[in-house]
Amino acid sequence: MSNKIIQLGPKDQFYLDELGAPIISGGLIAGIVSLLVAAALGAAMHDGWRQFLFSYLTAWLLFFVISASSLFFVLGHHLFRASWSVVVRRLAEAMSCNFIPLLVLTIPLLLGFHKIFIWTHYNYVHSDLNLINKTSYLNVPFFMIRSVIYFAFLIGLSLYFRNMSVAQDQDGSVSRMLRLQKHAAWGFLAVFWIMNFAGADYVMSLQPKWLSYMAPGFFFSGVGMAVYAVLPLVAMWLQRRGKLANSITVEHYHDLGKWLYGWAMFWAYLGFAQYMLIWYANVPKETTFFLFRTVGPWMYITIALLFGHFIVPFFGLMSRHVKRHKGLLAFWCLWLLFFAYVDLFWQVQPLVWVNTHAGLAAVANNHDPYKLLGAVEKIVWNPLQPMSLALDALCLVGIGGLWLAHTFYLLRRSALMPIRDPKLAEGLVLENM
Amino acid sequence: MSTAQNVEPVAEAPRMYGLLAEFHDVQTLLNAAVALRKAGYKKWDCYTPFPVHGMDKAMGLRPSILPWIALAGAMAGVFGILALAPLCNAFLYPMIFSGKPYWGLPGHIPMAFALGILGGTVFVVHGMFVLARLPQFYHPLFSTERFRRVTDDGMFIAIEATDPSYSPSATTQLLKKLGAAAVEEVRD
Repeated sequence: MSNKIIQLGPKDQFYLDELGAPIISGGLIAGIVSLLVAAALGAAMHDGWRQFLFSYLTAWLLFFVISASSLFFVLGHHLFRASWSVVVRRLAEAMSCNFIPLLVLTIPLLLGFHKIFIWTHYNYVHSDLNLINKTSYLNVPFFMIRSVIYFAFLIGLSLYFRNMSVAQDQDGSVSRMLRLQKHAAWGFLAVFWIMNFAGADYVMSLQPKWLSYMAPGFFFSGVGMAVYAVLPLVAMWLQRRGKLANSITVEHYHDLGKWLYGWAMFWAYLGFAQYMLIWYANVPKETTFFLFRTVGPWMYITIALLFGHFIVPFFGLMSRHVKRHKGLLAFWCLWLLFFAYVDLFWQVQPLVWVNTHAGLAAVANNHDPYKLLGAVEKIVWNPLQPMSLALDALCLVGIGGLWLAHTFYLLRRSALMPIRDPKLAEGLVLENM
Repeated sequence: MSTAQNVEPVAEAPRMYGLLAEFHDVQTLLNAAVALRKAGYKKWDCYTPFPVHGMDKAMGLRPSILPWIALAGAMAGVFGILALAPLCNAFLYPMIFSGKPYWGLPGHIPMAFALGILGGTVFVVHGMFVLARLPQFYHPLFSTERFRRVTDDGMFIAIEATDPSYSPSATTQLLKKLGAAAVEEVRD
């Protein structure tokens, strides 16, 4: 029960209008220029586009998962009939509708498909009985069929949920909300399973001999967390410019902060569960995952992840006073957004050279563990060279710019908040006890 | 016959507990709470059948120390087991389990996790009881018939007689002015 009275302010508060124009054009220009520079740099590296493809894949995956995770947020909102999240739902809806641009952006990945995924090499697969047994799942036609299914569901669900919500702005119909709640039930499960299979297909299959039941969930929890960092940041940006000024209150930021904290901790839980089982069983085909991520410089990144993604935010973001302080929450959002990318980088990038002929030869011919470690260390240094990191940054700005431009394009086309949602009044006066 | 045998023991005069004021709506109650805080009352409390948003602020209650008690319990659990497990496994009864080192930290983390949760919950539940002074079998307010409605639809403010600002007539006047539907004296 709440006794707050909310003064919503003038109508133009709920429309982005001209404020969106510089973001849209800036994002488009920055995105296209960065991707072109990245392509030129990638070609200049004379490594057969290998580093470019992996940098591009990392950046693409980040925004793919942020979009899927915001769809998950919207579906969860309807499934649980939440009211607190109504005020930020339109922002999440706009972020979730990016799958068509993301599908177009897979073109470089499709062109370099054979280079990214080692399991497309006949000789490699037929050198190992385990991999031969996996071919019934891990083959190119079935991979493409699965990807088409993922994208069909993600595009369909995200467009359906956003379009119904935008249509509700006109007629305020309750039946739309009820229909969305009905479809959220299966949609929530569908997106959960799609992201699990996508994690297995797009990240885990980079290292096809490796086994882990935790890996897809670990991937989705760590990167999917990013949306709870992006939502408060976008909301703060809008509020500083007078949009939604009285609609999003400290109570909503508090709740978003709880989600951010929860997902960061869930990542740690899954990450440790995966690590402990691998440590405990000590089976070579499982431990290689950590071999590539604990030799040489990668050990420092692993430890940085442990502290930056878990231990420091565990204490730093725990208090409700931190979550209710806008500046501190913004700091932790940026911090965890950075570590969401580091987490993805840590999952993808050690493998850039491991599955090349040179890499495979170095690992295969060294039966002396110390020589093996030395050989591995030489391979995993490459993605950390300045040129490679510059490529990573360029791809991130490139895909991120296009993603942001499309998100703001969608935000501009409707109100920034579901202004006639039946639960809006309840959501506006939210108070945390 | 001695008359002394017929003398009944004189019942102790009921001690004055304070004033109980009944309110009919939440907003009046909140405004009254703000006014009482500003008037300088210290020993008083609000009683409602449901949690009222904004009451903490209206009454000027400081945040509870319960979160710190929970954190202390959780940390005690985590570091307690992280000390105990290596002490047993690595020093007192060194034993090799599945080829792992005596002091294998990853193997101790699940215990630390479980003990952290256990310590946190045990401390938070018991801390809550201690801070709320529970269990309490009797309270002076139970002596009035009116107060029974607090679990249904009654909203009350009770001011104790031991409050330095308390005066039977002036406080009654103040409560009535603040919109109390009824004010009565409560005797223990």
